[in-house]
Amino acid sequence: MQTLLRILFLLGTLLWAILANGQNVEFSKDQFGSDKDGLKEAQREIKLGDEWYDLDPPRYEQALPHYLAAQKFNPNNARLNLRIGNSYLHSGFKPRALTYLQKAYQLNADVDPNIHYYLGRGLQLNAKWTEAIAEYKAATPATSGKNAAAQVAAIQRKIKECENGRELMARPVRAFIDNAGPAVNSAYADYGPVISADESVMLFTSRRDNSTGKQRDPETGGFFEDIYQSTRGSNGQWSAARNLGAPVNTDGHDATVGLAPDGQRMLVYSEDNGGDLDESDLRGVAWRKPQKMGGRINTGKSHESSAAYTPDGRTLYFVSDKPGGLGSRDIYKVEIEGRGPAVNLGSVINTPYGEEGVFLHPDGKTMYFSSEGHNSMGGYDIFKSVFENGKWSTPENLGWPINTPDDDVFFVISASGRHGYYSSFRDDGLGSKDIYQITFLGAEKQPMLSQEDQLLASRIQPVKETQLAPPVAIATAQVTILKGVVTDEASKQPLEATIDVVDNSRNELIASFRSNAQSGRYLVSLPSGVNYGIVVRQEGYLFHSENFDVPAGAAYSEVIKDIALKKLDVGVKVVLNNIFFDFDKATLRKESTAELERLQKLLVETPALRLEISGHTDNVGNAAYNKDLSQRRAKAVVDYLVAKGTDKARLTFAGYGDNQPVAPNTTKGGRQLNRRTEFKVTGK
Amino acid sequence: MLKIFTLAGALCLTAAAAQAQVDTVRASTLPPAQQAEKLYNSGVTKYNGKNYRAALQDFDKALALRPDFAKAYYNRATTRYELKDYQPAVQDYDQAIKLDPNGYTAYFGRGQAKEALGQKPEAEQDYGHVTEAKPDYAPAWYYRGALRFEKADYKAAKADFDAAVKADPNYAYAYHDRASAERQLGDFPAAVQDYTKALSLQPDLLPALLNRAAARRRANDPKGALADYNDYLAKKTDNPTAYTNRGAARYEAADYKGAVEDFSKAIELNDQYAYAWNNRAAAYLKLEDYPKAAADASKAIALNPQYAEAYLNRGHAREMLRDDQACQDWRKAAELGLEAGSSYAAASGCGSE
Repeated sequence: MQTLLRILFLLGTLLWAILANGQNVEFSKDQFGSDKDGLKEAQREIKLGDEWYDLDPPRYEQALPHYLAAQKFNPNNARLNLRIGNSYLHSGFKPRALTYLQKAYQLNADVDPNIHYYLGRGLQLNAKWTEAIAEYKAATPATSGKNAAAQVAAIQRKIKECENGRELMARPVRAFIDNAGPAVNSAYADYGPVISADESVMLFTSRRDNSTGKQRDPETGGFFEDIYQSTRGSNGQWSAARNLGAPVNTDGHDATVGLAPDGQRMLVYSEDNGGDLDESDLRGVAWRKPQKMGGRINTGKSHESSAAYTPDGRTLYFVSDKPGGLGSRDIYKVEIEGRGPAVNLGSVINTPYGEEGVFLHPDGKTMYFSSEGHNSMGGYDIFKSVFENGKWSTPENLGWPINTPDDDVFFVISASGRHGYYSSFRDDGLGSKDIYQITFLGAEKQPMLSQEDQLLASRIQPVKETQLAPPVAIATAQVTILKGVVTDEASKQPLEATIDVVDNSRNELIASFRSNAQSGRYLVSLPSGVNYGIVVRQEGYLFHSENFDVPAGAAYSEVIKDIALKKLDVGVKVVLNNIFFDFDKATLRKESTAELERLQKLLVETPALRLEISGHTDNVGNAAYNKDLSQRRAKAVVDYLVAKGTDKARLTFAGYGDNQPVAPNTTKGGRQLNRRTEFKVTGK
Repeated sequence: MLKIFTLAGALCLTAAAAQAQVDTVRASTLPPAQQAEKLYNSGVTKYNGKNYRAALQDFDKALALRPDFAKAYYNRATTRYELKDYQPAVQDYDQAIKLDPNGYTAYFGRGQAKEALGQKPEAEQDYGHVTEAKPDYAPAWYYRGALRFEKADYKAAKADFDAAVKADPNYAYAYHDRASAERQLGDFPAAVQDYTKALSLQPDLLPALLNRAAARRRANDPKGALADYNDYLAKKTDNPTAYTNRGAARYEAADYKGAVEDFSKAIELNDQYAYAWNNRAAAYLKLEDYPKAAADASKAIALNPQYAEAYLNRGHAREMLRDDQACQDWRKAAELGLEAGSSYAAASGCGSE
């Protein structure tokens, strides 16, 4: 009897041991004696996998296919499951790690001393925040000591990330996240999209198989990086990506990190000196060979990895790991043409962790960047901060599902604020990393109900309850995009010209751009809050002036203005859109100064030039009065020029009232065009 | 509610008939010269028997015999009112007033007839005359209050209803309509109180339940509101408006599935009821069932092509369905008066046109 009990007890213990350890199945003859060839092949795959896995540093992505082959033969080995899980943790598709890690733990709870930490990672990467926190807590070392303290701090940080994630996921951001499609993405890694402000052009980096030189990087086994371009048609579809070719793309790695809003200047990352930033500009359809950006940006052996231009093109924001920062990588800004050193953006933006992927919105005040700090839900998250009243606002996490527990970096956004672009590993991808387009939907749009009640007892007719429509947040982007084509008026051919953007109130040149030499296309970003004079000029042509008064707080708009430049010739007329008078008076406003100085300069540069300055009105009001007012205004301009030294004999003035309309007076827009000051060349 | 009209008319006539009856007794003993009075009395009897056409003939004959018979004009006017001959009724009241300017009943009757003819300012004037001539006559206050309510002059309407309940503390309609005026003025607790009073005076005044529910919703008492709707629907199950309004209350309480059930029931009762279709679209939006939301909003628009809310809601649905026509819908909503539509279009990259 006692023997029987002992046997039962032993059997019980055995059963318990088996259950506790799941059913860990070794790759051994005991288990797979019947399939010796299969076993041998599986063991070989494990060995090959181990060779990559055990390298220093480990090469997880190379190990993974071998391990997965062995897993097919025997899916119930704790060690193999652990190694597959860990390899996935270091791959693009990190969330896939979880099932393998859970299986490894189930097969053998002692499979690895760090298994709770790995499970925490796997759960966090699957956005299972609460369960992840429990595993991280289980992973916290009990012992004290210097090493343990660092470990505890790291785990605390992970727990904090999970708490952030839980909070952010509870209030998701409304957005569509769409794969940019097969015209842009390939089966290989596609990433780092940059766009022009109007989203007409996208440049990105890809490691696809038609790269320049067609060679593979011995380090990672993938093709070398090249820069590709796609353009967006009027139907919103991206064209098939085109390799930019030489001289931008070389046999080695070539990656784009930034594009000016007008798409005419590009920032390129090169591997030189530990990682440098180069610059290339577009001449017609050809990008020029990238040039180094200089020692104030590329310092020593430090790694400069990402950069963005301000909309005036004068300042560069960039990321560097140079010494003296607040964390591993920080964001700096520097005046490109200036002499001052690059300035760290400070602790509101830069954290003790890494910052990466800086982008400036064409409104000139909103910055998007990625950070491992702030309230990241894991890895790098994308943040937004606005520079107002001399300081950066507290960075705001763009939120779930744009940000994920993994790295979300190199995000750019259109001037309209409607579309963002970034790259991500997602299950709906075409393979490896793909470029995605985010459509921001804004706050939930509230539906409206109707109802009626019979409010008067003696009446049958019900009364509809009037409801107020819910308030709507106005578009956040506060910038006007002005774009078009510059041509020669006579030949109609595209023209390369300089576009000056002037602050009329301060009589100050804000920025200068060039239209594209081949297409004549130009684009300027006009952040709200300025009365802009836009002057298009080119040697041998009379200048063309446009006025855009964009009040503070004005919402996004896109204006298309094609400009035909006129050659200097007798009889040619030019409208002076940046001359302003007080209402109903002939007093020149101070905002006119820049335009008047421009006219003065033209007269100095062209000594034989004779001009008639004329005033014009719309047909509103008394005709005789209008004629008199327009004449007095023309005279005011002439008086200014004479006072500045122009010979009186070269100038005449005339008031035409509404006799020479340039547009029908039937619309507000037409009347506005008719109210103008212009000059006519009367001699040269 | 027409029933109440009749009742009020009958009440007036009773007042007049009370005077006329005195004549009846005397008339029977009077010589043939009193023939007009006899015919008059006969008309009154026929009127009370709801034999209006015959009554009319008697009053006609009485007036032919005695053209200065003010009471006969008054009663013929009242009879014509019952026969919906409003314009001739007004003419008779005019005569009655001319012959007897000191009474108030003819003014009140003319007010009713003019109201029926759609001559509301004139009607209001006649009721006003009665309120001055006989301030304790509650119906005059009440009917003027209703006219003022319809002009959206809720403060003046409330003052009239105040006077009506002062003159007649058991006047359920006046309490009810005062509650509605209070509701329009934003005083929801007072509205709830007056609707409750109206219900206690006249428990079968069911619309008061629906109205109290609506006021309770605005007074942040969603539970009380739902209880009222449930109460109403337990008593009356064929009113699509009641289902639609309970659906809206459920929607406000974030019970979108329950809301869909109610709107569906309303549609079942009346598939031409655009509000129910529109509101179900809104509930489907909340349930993120965008194809159904778009389809319901389309149905509402088909029933009423000027329905701004339905365009707005369909715009929301179409946006989520990635349908560019969302922009058109939002713009149409704006064109029809919902300014928010323009902002939605602008904020959603709809372009400039």
